[in-house]
Amino acid sequence: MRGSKPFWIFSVYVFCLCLIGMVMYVSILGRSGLSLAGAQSELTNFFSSLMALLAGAICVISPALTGTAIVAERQRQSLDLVLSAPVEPKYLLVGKMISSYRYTWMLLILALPVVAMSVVLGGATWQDVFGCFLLLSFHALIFTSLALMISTMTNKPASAVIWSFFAVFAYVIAMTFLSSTALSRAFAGSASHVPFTIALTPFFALQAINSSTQIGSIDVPNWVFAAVLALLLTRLFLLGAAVNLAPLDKRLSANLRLSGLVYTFGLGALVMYSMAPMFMMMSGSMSAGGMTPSPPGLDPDLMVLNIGLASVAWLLFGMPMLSCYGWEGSRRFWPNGIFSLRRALDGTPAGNLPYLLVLIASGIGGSLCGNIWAGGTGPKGSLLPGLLWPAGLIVLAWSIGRLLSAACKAMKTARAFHLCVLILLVGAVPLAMLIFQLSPSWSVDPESHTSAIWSLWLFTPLLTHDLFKLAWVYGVIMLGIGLLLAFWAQVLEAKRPRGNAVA
Amino acid sequence: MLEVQGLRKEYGPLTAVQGISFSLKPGDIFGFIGSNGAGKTTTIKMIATLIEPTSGTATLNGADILADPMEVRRQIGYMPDFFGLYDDVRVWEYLDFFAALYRVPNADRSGIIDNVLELTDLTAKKTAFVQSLSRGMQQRLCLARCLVHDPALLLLDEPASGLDPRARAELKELIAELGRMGKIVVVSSHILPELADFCNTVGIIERGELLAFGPVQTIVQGMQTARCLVLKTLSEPEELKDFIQARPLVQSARAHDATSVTIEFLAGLEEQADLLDAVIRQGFRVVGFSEEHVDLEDVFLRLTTGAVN
Repeated sequence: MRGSKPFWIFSVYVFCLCLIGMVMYVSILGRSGLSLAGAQSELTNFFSSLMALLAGAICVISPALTGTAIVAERQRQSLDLVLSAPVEPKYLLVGKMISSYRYTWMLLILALPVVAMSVVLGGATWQDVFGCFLLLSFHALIFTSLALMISTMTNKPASAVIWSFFAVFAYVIAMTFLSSTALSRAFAGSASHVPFTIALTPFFALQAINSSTQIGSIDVPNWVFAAVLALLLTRLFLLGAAVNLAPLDKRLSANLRLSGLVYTFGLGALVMYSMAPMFMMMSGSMSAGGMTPSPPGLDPDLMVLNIGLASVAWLLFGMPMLSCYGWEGSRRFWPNGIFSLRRALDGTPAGNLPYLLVLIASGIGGSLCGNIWAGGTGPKGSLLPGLLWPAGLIVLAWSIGRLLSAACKAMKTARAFHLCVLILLVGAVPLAMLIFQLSPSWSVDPESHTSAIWSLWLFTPLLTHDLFKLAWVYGVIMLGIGLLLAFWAQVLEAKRPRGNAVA
Repeated sequence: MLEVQGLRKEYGPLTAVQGISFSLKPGDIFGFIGSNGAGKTTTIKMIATLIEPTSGTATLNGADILADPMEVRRQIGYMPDFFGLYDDVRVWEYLDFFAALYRVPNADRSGIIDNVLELTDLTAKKTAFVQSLSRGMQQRLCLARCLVHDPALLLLDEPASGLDPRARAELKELIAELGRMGKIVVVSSHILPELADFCNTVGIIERGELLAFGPVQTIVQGMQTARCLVLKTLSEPEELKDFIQARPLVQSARAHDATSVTIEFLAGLEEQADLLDAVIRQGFRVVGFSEEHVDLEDVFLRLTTGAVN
């Protein structure tokens, strides 16, 4: 940005921040009759609110600044010029990321005077401020790289920004969901040992910097996990972006996929390990209350529950990329079979299903290792349903993508339809229940009409321990339907015009 | 040395380029001729390592576009049929950015930028913003960008499109100069007479197939089985046509209008002189006798059918 444009943009930003900060301050402290302790608590709340406001700003500004980075080059047709130079995509992407990221940092620095008000008034310390800023900058790094990856996949700046917002929103929702148990622990008391998952969402920066995760006898501050995760996720997203920019480079594709496997395993292990104490506590309290008898130690069903729910996000955002194919684009996307373990890392359609299955196995394997590491008792009898259900879900979602690819002319259309179908698969039943105001019932009661509707939902087995026993049934049904759809897709594909239209 | 071997590109059922092969040596200016959608840009993009060929390959001074794309990129200057200019950037900054991309040492950049600006006659616009330049100047700036790293091969896709006659003439001269500097220049264009002026090699492509390749004169002569003579007369052209038709070595003769007859003649200059002598002796009043040359446009029109992919 040249000239006076940045000055005006940053001035408006600071003005808005000051205005919102003042409104919040007046509304919190304007009440009369507050005791000294109450005022102190309100000031702390004021600081938390300011941090949440900044987190919201980062969630909006980072993707907005980065979403157009590559797609704008594509639109002004300068991308080919850059790519015809001897520059590896990673350097281009890192350059673009630094360019956007420094603006995010600029916005954080500009917010410093407003946030400093909390320190002056006594609601927070400088340590809190810089800790929160550090954590927010890690999240900004993730959002920037995520938006950059989306920017490489789209053709229009507007759609790049919209998809970036959508992806960041989904990331925040998924991570908030993943950290829900940690959040309840953080807000329940003043415990300093909170699972690191709390650091995965930017809206609880203050809680994350003041807590730690115990690994063995060592207390590891949660911001360390946030930093490591931010770097690893950034690397993963940048690899994804590089694969989109350089489809000829098979090493990049293999690198991305191997990284995905390793990260899934590591994340599964770490999540399970850090949450183990809470699961143990929950199992203990359930046993004490005369509820479903639970084995001592970690309940393996809950472990699978977590994996299943985490796979929802993966299915929604990763599946269209990993199951749809098309003839019109790069050869990497041309159909070359259904299942080839040898091609699992090269990014071609035949290797996608084996890769997905290995990925889910990696997540489950990581969780099991984390479980055992935390002193849990292992999967016991729930390993079969715990494997069959995600495998069935993956095969079903993948086969829908194959079918849509065979039916649609363009890969992008197939991907868009696939995403819509997946969203319907996940959200239709809860939405219907919400619309018709039916009371949710998790029990398998033949007398209950609501249970019949809920039983149609693919995720029903994950809702309770009793229903989890049926997970293998759901898994087998989904596998069967998935294979039928894949067969149908093959039949449709065989009917497509082939060969040389010119000759 | 650029060697293209069986380069082929398929998009599903559509074959954009059907296994074309040719080779060019330093100093060659190669005119790549074809209708819209014939496969020129796809071929150029494959050589520029921007598109993966379905089969076949190309090597530039030993570097393969598939095995060693980075080395190929170091040696090429690619100018697409659009400008791809950044906003809010000055001319020298634009060139400096690309010089940095090509790893031109920082200390040398300033001198190189001055040189390429001088070569492209843009020195006066060094500090101007790129969006303030005229179309012809922007075109020359793009060419200057291709030259900052002194490439061995220049790939110019429709460099003259949208330029006024003066800018076109300047660009033509510039490309000829680059050829004299020992660079291989691949130029795709629709403006055939201009290509014939400065290209020493041409290739005609249609529906992804290379129909002809070689020096301009060789291709033209290959197309020309008979000399085309035009005889202008004040006499009755039909009568003259019948007389000529009966002469030896005349393949065909036809009266064009009230004053001229076109003859397809199967012999050299001596026989041409004899023919003219015979016509005059017969009493026909001749006011003009000339040979009509077949040009690149005629060759192109004869070879191609206008079909597109």
